Amino acid sequence: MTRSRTTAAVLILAVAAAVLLAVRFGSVALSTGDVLDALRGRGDPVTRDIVVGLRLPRALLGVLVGGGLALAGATFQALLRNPLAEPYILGISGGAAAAAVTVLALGLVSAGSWVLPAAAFGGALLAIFLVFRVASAADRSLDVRVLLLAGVVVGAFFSATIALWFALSEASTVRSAVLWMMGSLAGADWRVVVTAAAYTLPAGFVLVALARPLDLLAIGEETATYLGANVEQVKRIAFGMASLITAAGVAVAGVIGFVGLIIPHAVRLVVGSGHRALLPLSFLAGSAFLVLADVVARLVIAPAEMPIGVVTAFAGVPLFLVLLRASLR
Amino acid sequence: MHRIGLRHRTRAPILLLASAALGACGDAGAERGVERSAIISAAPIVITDASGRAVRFDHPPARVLSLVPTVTQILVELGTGYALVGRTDYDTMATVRALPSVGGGLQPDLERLLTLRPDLVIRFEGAQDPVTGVALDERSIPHLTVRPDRIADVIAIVHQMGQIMGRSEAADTLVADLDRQLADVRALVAGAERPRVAYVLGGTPPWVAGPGTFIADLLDAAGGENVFADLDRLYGPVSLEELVTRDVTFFVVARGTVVNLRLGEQAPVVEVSQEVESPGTGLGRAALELAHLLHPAAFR
Repeated sequence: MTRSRTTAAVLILAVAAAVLLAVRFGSVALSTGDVLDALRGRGDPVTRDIVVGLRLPRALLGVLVGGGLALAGATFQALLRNPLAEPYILGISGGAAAAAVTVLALGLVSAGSWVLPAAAFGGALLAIFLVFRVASAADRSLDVRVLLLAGVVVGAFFSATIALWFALSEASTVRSAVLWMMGSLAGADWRVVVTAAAYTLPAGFVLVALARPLDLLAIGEETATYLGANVEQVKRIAFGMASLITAAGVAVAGVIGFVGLIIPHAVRLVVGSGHRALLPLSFLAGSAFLVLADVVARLVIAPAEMPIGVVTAFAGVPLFLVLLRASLR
Repeated sequence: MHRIGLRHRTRAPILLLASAALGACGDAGAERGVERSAIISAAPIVITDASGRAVRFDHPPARVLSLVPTVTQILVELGTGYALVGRTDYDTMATVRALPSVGGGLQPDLERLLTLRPDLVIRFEGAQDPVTGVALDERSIPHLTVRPDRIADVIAIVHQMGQIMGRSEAADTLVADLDRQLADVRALVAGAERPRVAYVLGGTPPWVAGPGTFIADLLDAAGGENVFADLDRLYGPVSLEELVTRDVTFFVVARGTVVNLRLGEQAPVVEVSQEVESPGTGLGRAALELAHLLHPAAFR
């Protein structure tokens, strides 16, 4: 437990440091004094807008999305008892992307800036609904192997839908869709942050509260039942909450890979697989990681932006290898 | 109606001074006089942009950021380059290269955009950039969308910019020049047999220009027949079979485009300059260049 506490302290500091860096640095060079003034509501209005209106909400969105993806990934890995599980494994990203591409292709996005995220959110939920319908039609007890298979099938269906729209649409639609699917925190503003928080935080608390039954489930469903867990109910709630977090993340930031897969493993290597520590610490580690990745994405080829997925993969692989080696010693 | 006037009316005198001062940096003297009188005489105007939004101008903007290279070029040619405060990575004209870049024209760097303090941002219409319009609306920074699909769109944009910048006469001249150049090209190739042309943009399967594009307009002006006038979209991929069975006389590509070698066996693949693929005031030259290739006899 002391190890978890130390890790927690380090990670909280890391999140704080990441947010400070994200607020301090951007494509426009500002001095520390400028940034501090802006945070206190003083100084030049444009500088204030850059710091408080652009950088701060973007950093906080990174905290929510990065943390949410890592937490959802850890939950899916426990529920599916599969180390390859990640937040998008049950076709959520496919559903969200298919819905997003559909509204882009039909030109519905001009109705307002909320249309695209709303469609993506709806598509993600539709995907999860379909996966569960398919899985429970085959087997009422939600066998994880059937669920995985259903996820793959539903995901493939949505991929085909996207390809169909691409074949039928204007080049500009394809371009918009590809840009969206690459994932980015560029759409961050305060409204987006509040919306993301409204889904991610409550669902996150529910998952953390389910830590003990998730521990039991990770051992095996039969054992969990013998030890008194209401397996079916826990599974449904946990799947639902992790999916909700993922859907909210996809809606506001597109599909950002790697965080949900690698971060839980990295955290597990440090603090073990007890979910009481693993879930909240994964959230913190995912937050710090994504916010830092976004700082790099914004700076490295400024004023253009690197797709954040490039940074999460390039930074995540070596990080993971280092942790893996250390743990095997 | 969106009523997007310039934010601070009280700033008008400052803007006027600023634009006059900036004008002085450019051409000085008589030039400055023109701007000043234009600013004073211009009544509020309302422009409906490509997204159907009505954008109101109480006076010509003094700090313009164009995210659309076509418009940047038009503004420079209207003699209003002094009002430009930034550019995109795609604006490489010598006259604007010294300006700070905001990155791409789609999803530009908002931090840099804000530091330029534009009082008008011109951007592409469409869903390709869902972020910028929202961010500008939130900050009440006026913005106008354009969509330069066809030659007629480019001409309409020239008139719009002329109106907005108080340079309607310069715009009329620019449009008259373009019209005359196009009419000259049409006259040169009139009566000649029209070769069947596929304009190939590259890719596998190859992408071609369909109807409703400025490239189709250019082919038409240059006395060519676009064999893909029946394409169901502006630009799109077609199968190699289609390309080889459509009895094409010429495949036209921009210099540097990689095309399937099969095409060369079917009909000559001729190269044109990159300018043919940029919808702007160089469209007259582009039409002439195409006419040279399609109707060499007309130039002997």
